[in-house]
Order: sequence, then C-alpha cells, then structure tokens
Amino acid sequence: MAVEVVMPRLGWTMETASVAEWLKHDGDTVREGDILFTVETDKVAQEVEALDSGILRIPPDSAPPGVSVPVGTVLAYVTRPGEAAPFEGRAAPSAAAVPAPQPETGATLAGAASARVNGRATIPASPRARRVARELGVDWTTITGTGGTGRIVERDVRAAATARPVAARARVSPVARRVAQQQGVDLDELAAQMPDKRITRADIDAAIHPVADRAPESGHPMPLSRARRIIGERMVHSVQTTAPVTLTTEADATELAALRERIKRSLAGSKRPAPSYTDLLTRLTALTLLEHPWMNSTLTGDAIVQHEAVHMGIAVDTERGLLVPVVRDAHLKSIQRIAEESAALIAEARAGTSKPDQLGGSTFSITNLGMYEIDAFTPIINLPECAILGIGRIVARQVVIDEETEELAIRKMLALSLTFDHRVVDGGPAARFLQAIKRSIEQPYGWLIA
Amino acid sequence: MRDLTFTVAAREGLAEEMERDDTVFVVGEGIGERGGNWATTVGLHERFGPWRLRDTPISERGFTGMCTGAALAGARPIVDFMFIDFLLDAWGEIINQMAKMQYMSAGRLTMPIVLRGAIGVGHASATHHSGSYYSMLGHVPGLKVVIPTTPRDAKGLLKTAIRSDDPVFFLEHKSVFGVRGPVPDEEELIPFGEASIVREGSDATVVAIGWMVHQTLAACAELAKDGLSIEVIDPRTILPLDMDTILASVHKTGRLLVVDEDYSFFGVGAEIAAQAADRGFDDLDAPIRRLNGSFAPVPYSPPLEAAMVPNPTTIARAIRDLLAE
Repeated sequence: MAVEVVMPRLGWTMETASVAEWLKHDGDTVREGDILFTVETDKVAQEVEALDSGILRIPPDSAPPGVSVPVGTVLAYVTRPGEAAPFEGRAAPSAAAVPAPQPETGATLAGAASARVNGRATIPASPRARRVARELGVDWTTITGTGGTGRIVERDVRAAATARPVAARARVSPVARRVAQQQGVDLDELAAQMPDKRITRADIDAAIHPVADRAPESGHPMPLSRARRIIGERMVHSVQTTAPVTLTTEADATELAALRERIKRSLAGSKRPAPSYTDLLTRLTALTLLEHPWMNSTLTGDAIVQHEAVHMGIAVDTERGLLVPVVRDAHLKSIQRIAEESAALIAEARAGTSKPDQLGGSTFSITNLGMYEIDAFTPIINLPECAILGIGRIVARQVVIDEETEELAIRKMLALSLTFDHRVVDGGPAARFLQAIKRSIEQPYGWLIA
Repeated sequence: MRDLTFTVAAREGLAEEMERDDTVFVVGEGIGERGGNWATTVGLHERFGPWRLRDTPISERGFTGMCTGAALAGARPIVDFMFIDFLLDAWGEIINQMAKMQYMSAGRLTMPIVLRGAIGVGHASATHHSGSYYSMLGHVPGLKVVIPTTPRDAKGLLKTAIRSDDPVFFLEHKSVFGVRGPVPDEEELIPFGEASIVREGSDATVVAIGWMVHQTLAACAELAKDGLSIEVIDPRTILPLDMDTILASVHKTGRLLVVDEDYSFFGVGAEIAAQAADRGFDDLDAPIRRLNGSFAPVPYSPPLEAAMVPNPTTIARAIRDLLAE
C-alpha cells in the first residue's frame, strides 16, 4: 500500500509552503529517516524526513519546487518495491472496486472514475462529445473539458464551435482566404452576407471590385462600395494608429530628367518599356533604404522588425480605387527589370486581375501624384510600414544656383514628401533619409550603377 | 374519461375480459368472496360465481401447475399470487413448463395464462413479502413481464395480457394501488413493448420502474424549480423492452439514469445500461448511472426499509450528480 508523503505543518500557524528542493528523486530507494526534501516557509528552510522505507515515487504533476501549496497536499508516495504508484493508472479495476449497488452519493463513484483518469495519457471525451465534434469540425483535443472527471462533454464542444470566428467556420477556398487577408476584406462580414455559400476568389474580387461606382446623381445617395469601405478603413486605421509626420523638400531633378530622356531615346523602337520616374525612384529609394534600414521597418505589436529586403509598394489609382501592387526585392533588381515588372503590375491592377501575391508584403511604399501637377502632399502610411514617399511633379523653376554670385537658373525641381511614423522613427533619421533621397536624385549616376 | 384508482381500473379491465370470454377464470388465495387481499376481485365473485373465482389453499406450486394444465387445455386462467414472492414455490412450473411449453410443442400448444401479484418495498412487509423478482422473470425466454404504474396502463395492459396467448406476469407495486388517474370510457388495449414518456425533458433521461416512476416524477418537480428539464420514461413492459424509445431519448439528452428499487446486480437497469452503451454509444455524454435498492433482504423496521430504497431526495441527488458529469 503506497504511503502518502504530504506537505507537513511545521508551525502552528503555517498554512502553506513550498518545496525548496528534493533531495531524493522519483524511483530512489529511501529509508525511514532519510531527508526527502526541504521546505521553504516564510521564515526558514526545514528538512523533511521519510517516515517509511520504500521507493519514493513523485507524480509528474506534484507541486514543483517554489510553488506554494496548502499543508497536507500530497507531494509523493513511498511504495513497496514492485508496487505501482497510485498515479499510474491500473488496467482493470479489481472485483472489490465495483461500485456498491446503492451508491450513497454519486460523488463516490465520480471520485473512483477520476482516480482512474489520473494516469491516462489522453484527454477523456464522451462519445457524444466526439460525435458532435466530428459534425461541427471541431478539434476536441484542444478543448478544456467541464465534465465530471475533467472529460470533454458536448457542451464544451459546442461552446468551442460558437467561439470560433465565422471566418473559421465559413467554407472559404484557400486562395480566397489569402486574398481576403492581404486585401483586408472582412471574411466574417462577407460570410455573413452569403451564409451557405462556399466563398471563392470571385467573391473576394467582387467584394473588392464591385461594378465601377456610378458617379452620384445630385442628391442620390450611393452606398459605399466594398472597395471604398476597405480603403476608408485602412486609411483611418493608419492615421489613427501612427504618429504621422510629413517632411517635404525639393530636389533638383534636372540630371534625373536628362537621364530618363536619354534612356527613353535609346529604347525607342524596342519592346522594352522605358522606366518611369516612379521606376527610377523605386530603384533609388530601395538602395537608399539599404543604408537607412530603420526606414524599412514594420511595427507589429511591440516589436520593430527591420527588413533586409526592400519590397516596394507602388500606389496605383484604378477605376475601382487605390491598389498597391508590390515590386519584390527592388534592392536587387535592375531598373530595367523594375520597369518591366511595374508595368505589368500596374496593368493588372488597372484591369482588376492582380494576383494575391502581388498585392501585399511591401516594406516601403511610393506614391506619385506628379502627373496631376501636385507638389508636396501628405501621403498616408501604408501600414504596417513605417514611412511612405510621395513624389510630386517635376516642374521647371527658377532657382538660385549660387547665393554669392546671385546666379539664377531654370532647373527641373521635384517635390518630395516623406510621411513617417514617429512611433518607429524620429525626425532626425527620417530627415536624413529624405536628404539622402534628394542627394540621389540630384546625383543619379552613383546609384544607377549600383 | 373517469378518474379511477389503479385497483379499480385494473378490476374493471378484468371484469370486462371475464364478461367477454367465459374461459377466463381467476385462481388464488382469498380471491373469491373476500375479493382479494388487494381488492383485485372485489364484486366479481357475486357477478361471475365460484366456478370462475376459485379460492385455493396455500399451495402455489399446486395451483400454478393446475393453471398451466388448464391453459394447455384451452382455458385462460389468471393466477393471483397476492404477493409475487409466493411465485417462488411454483418456480419450477413457471420456468420449466409454462415458459417453455410453446417452444417444446413447436407452437401447437399455447399458454394463455396471466400471473399477477403485488411487488415492492414500503409497507413493512419484510423479507418474504417485499420482493420484485422481475429481473429474474425478465431473464426467462417465453415469459412476458408487465409493470403498469397508472390506472389507465393497468386496465389497458391487463386486457392485453388476458387476451395474450403467452404467459404474462402482471406486477402491481403495493404503493401504486392507490394512485388515481384518468381512464378512458371506451375500450383500450395497450400493446406490450411500448414505453411511455411520462415527462418530457432535455437535460437527462431517467428510466424508472414501478413505484419509482412516481417517486422520480416527484423528484423532477423539485428539479424543475432549478430549471432542470428531465425526461422520464416508464417502460411499462420490461419483457418485451422498448429500447427504441429509451435510445431516442438518450439521443436527445445524452445522459441516462435508471431508477429501480430492485437490486442493481443483474437487474433491469443493467440490461438497459448495456443496451444503451452498445446502441447509443455515440449519444452518451456521461456514464450511465443506476440508482437501486440496497443489495440486502428487505428489513421489517420502517425506517430501515425506507433507507434501503430510492426516494425523491436521493433520486434528485442522483440526477444532479449525473448532470454534473
């Protein structure tokens, strides 16, 4: 018969204590009088002797050292050699263990059942619970049971099923789920709108790209399209979450413009697309980011992740709303490659045929409103990135070339606006980054050959 | 509909069948002029005469054997044991002759015999007069075992029993005799093998036998105050046993308790539990529980006697324990 080793009461007022250290271990032979463990009370550490000889058996769930338990808590057992410890489940109850015909209380029987469960490796679940789990597609092995012996019963399975978000329960194709996640489509809402439908890519697309918004007739209220709603939510989220500060500057883009002209002329007649200013800025910015890696960070929760690769998001205005396809590894690709890729991405975005992989994963974004004769503006950060570069128009201006000599010249000036998240980056580093961009624009040949 | 006691309703059924078929006759101790210890035959002796209401000496084996023979010869005897415990003297006749005769004769001989008697604990009737014995009877192929608990069931099932060509045990709990209830005016025969859902519920299923049906309903009335919804099933006949109704209920509730004042060992509850665990396995949300009388001879002392059988308090507790599983 196994003898219990309990937390002793070592003082009149002692109520709880913790094991400080086991001096004998599970499986050790102990003799009466051997010190088994020391106890830490709030005053002193005391040694506790074995009162019996035998094999010390410590259950795996015995209170670990340092954990306070009430006096009297069973910590271990001393068994006879060959005897199984009480916490090791037996195969079949002996005849004497069959419950008496009239149980005094149901609790006696329940107690017997839980003792058998203690040594089990698996979590018990009632047959009904397993059946219902199968029917509802719930993984019952992850549920906590509230049944008599800690078993999982039907109500636990049903509670777990209703606790799942609708999107987990809704039947959604894997592609649709990915696109929805990347595009910020609320699957729960969508699933609620089409409760018995298996949601596919087409449904997500329809949600993002409904039939082009009609220009509202005067006074005729147009409900928000899904695309508009999503864009709106993301913009508000960005503005409300980040600490946005916009820095503006002007860069002398005369050299850059000349460079671009030459490239265009040399590609005339070829099928290869000429790089746009956005393409040039993409390459330039990507390389600059390598030297200012904190600008290439994302803030998730409490952690700032600096990315080694630069995936450049390019804002595209489409009929259905703003889309930001991504040129991946812009720091590794040639301007030519960037030009080809961005042309394809923009075309697909405008056609509404962008693939899910193309629309997410950017580490920095560029937005160009120069074609609309905009100078500086305040772009909104594309979360979870920490900054966005806004490119304005290139316009010929009269500028002071030399203050001393008061020399003036007509130069092509390019407005730059950098909105950065002051939570992640401070003004100084952000300004240095923008200055570096400006320098690179003014002296393009250095990064051109990088 | 009339409101009758169990005794009166059963007697009404007996009288109707005796009127309808003059091969029906009753045999037993004190069932003639006396009208039976439990008033089972009051008024019938005047109406039908001594030929059909036949008093016997205290010789159960003798008169049971004679009735077996009478049944074989084409009559429809009713053996009124008074206390079902007295069947034990005729056990050999019952099992070896009565139950097996149709089989042994390849169906050429029928056994249209009804054996009735009072069962159960609760009237200080002590060890020899408080038995249930239906677990043993249910274990004999060839018998039918009927345990009505309401006046309507008593009448409808007794009529079916008398018209049946099989040997039928018609068992009446001493505490059920005084139960009042509605009985239809028109003739009604209740078939064997049809359980009755006496209370609908959704949290647990309780199958109760005999007087325990009423004790369980009392417990459920208390539990209802705590919002607990318990379904109570009266099998009415334990052989044949209507497991389909019980299984359908377990499918709904997921929990099963059997309340039977008879012993748990090898009892009716053991059979119900085994069948439910087999055919209703995937519906069970908790272990199947049984609440039974103590496995001991029945004491004479009223407090001891009361302590050994379930009552509404212990039944309610057992139900709560089951719901906690």
